[in-house]
Amino acid sequence: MNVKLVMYILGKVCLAFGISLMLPFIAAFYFNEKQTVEFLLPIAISLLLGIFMSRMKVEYRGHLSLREGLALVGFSWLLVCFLGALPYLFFGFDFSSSLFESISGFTTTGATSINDLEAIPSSLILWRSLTQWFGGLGIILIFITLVPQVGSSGERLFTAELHGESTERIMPRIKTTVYAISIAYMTATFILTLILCVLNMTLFEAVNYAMTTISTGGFCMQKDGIAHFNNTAVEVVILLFMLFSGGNYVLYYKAYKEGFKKLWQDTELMAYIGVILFFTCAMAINLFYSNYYRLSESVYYSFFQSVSTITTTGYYLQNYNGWPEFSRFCILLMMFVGGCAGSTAGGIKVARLLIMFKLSWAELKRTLHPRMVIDIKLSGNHIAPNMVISISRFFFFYIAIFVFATLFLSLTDKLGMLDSIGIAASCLANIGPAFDIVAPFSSYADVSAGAKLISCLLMLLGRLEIFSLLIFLNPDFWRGTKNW
Amino acid sequence: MNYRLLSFFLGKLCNTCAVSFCLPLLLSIFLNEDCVYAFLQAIVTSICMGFVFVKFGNSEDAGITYREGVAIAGFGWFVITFLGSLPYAFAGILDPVSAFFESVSGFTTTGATAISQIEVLPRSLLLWRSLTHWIGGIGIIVVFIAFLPQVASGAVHMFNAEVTGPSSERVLPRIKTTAIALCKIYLFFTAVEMIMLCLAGMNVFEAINHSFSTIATGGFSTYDTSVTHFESPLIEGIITVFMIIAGGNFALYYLIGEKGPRALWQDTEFKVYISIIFIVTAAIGLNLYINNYFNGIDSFRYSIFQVVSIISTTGFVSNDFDIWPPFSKLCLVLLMFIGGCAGSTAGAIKVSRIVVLTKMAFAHLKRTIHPSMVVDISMSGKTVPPPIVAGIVRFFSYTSFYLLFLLS
Repeated sequence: MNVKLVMYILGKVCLAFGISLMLPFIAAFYFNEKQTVEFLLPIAISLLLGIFMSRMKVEYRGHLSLREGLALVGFSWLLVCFLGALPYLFFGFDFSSSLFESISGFTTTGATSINDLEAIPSSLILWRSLTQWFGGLGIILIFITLVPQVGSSGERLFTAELHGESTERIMPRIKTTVYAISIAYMTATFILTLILCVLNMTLFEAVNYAMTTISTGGFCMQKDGIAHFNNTAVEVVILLFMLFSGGNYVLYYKAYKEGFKKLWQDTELMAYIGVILFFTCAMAINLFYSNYYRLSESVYYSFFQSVSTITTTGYYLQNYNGWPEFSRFCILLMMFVGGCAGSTAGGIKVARLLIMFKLSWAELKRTLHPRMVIDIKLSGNHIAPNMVISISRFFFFYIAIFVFATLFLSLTDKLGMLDSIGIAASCLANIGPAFDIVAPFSSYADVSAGAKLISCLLMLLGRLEIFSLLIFLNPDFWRGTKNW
Repeated sequence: MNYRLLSFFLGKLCNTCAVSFCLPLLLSIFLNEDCVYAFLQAIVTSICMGFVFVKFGNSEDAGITYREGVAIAGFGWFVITFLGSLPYAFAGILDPVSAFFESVSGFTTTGATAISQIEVLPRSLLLWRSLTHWIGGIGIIVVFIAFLPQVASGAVHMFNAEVTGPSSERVLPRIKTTAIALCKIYLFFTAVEMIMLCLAGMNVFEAINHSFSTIATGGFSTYDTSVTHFESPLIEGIITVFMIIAGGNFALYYLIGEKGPRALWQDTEFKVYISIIFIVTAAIGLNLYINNYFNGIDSFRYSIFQVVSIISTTGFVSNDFDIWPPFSKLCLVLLMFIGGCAGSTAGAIKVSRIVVLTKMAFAHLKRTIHPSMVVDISMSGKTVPPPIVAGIVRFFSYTSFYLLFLLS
């Protein structure tokens, strides 16, 4: 492995990080807050670290091997998450809470360990939302454009980073794709901010909620989240933008270039909408017949919760923990689904589930016709057997990690069976709230430090689609490069 | 599809069922119980059905293909579970739906019961409950293959449609000999357990019932409180050992007879199965001990019994594990999905499938860094062909889907 090259690029990441920390620093001055040193210190640390690391002499800049790409992705996430925890640490939170908050931000989970959100300064609130916004876009997508050295092998990083299996290239050069996606992301954030401002939010609130919605993060500025505004128009707008963020950005770009019929031709997007409608109906009927709400409210609340859960945002209007068993299980199930491939959402992803589902169905047919040749298609494209295998292994690891995480969580204090299952599913899919102890309107503050650290690991695994992090455990990864 | 052939076999199945009703019937006559007529009615019904099926059926054109094999196994289960529910219904113990549930639970060796008070039931009906386990455990089709001459060439299709697990490898060249060997081993273990339980202090009736449901990995007991009733570590120990045996691969036990006990340690699946039992037992035992539920010895005593009972999908209970700490309960839930070895009477995903899946997942993890690597997965020193691996992956995926839908 070319350690120097990796270090060099990590240094650049540190520099970019230090610069982005200036924003809440400036905000602190703007809001006339007393605590500004708390930001100055992390800025200084990351800039110094950045300058030190990027002074590495890099002899060979052109080529970045697969292994270096993977190392870069994994280490830059770890680095950024640890640096991101510094402001919280200086503001007086304990280590596990700070790390939890930072990782929850960058992985766009939106689980918070801060109990009293109104009490913390606005600049820190801005920093929380910013971490989600950066995390959503994927630090990689940003720094590919910042670091020209990566050049031709940027594609490999892109494959390691961008979610889902359908990372088909839509333009000849990967850099153009990255620009296009970044611009789409920024535009969406900008538009949402404008609309929210029009709907009577203050500019500061609008910016924060726009950033956490578009990144499918789900950090709130108040403890009661979106419900705080008591404004149906705001809720509907956020609902629509969540729905948008859970879709495939590459597909949006295609639709923009080749006409909107592309959207209707995409199996995944249709399945995504279908799953949401299915769960909305199921939960609405359940809620209505159990006499929880009126019919219109049942439909509205279940639609909002379905979208929020599937896109892995984690906003809430009502405390679904008090809903009937069936609805709660629907929500648990949706935690596994996740958004579309190529979105900022977490979870297993609709495309993967579709392929697995088609495979299972084909296998059922094969019992009768043992020599049948199985061909799996998605949106009319043939899925290569290798892809099918990698989806299977992803599926297996996802379930296995979920199971073991649940076991370990149940060993920590205060967590019951459903708590552990909920936290594991929710953190692995980067959602945030779960059931009982971490139900909506409460926080992870009551969860023990051990459980917080396990959740941190889960969030990172979920965000990096498991392999980019799990590969570090493989001895082959650390061995000399001679043979490969 | 050859419907007349299907009908012939279903008719034979009805007749077999009628014969097996005779055992509880004799017991009820002997004990002078009320449910004599229930069994008589059930026998008459099955003989009539059997007569109609055989009359319509035709065994001459005995070309059993894969399709017929699947059909016989599938419809056979419907017919036998229907007939099996008759005694409960005729005796007026359960309504028809609950009776069917009890029968399905028996034949599939599930062991879930719809009867709230077991002890007040006539003993003949209790025997019938355990007997459904025992018949379901060996699989009626295996019995057919062993003793019906008509099966002949189609045996392999019927065998594959019924015997559980991915590797229904034949230990003997002829499928018929394999089936007979399986029946012998099954009978042998049942007899040994029965004798040992008698020696440990059960009466003969209890011993018969418990050995039937242990070897079949069923879980019906003759008491509401299951094995807790006996409060005897010795009985728990004997049942534990036989549950472990019943959760193992029966074909493997045949190999022990041929090659000696060495065969056991050469089998990856069996080793993993035993290791899982020990690791989870230790984990739950420690968890129970640290949380002050029991003293040191009792923690492990209850833990091993429950672990084995659940991994072999038997479902006997020696302590109320619903009040155990969440970690222990989650471990037990996890075990429910693992299940026993391939070729056993246990249900669930099966250890060998888990082993292949894990090996595959880790092998392909390496492929992230070496994209063109050729992956070879082997078990017990033999390469697992890619189509089987693919099949297992799909099995896993649809059990996962099934599980998720079951949850809701």
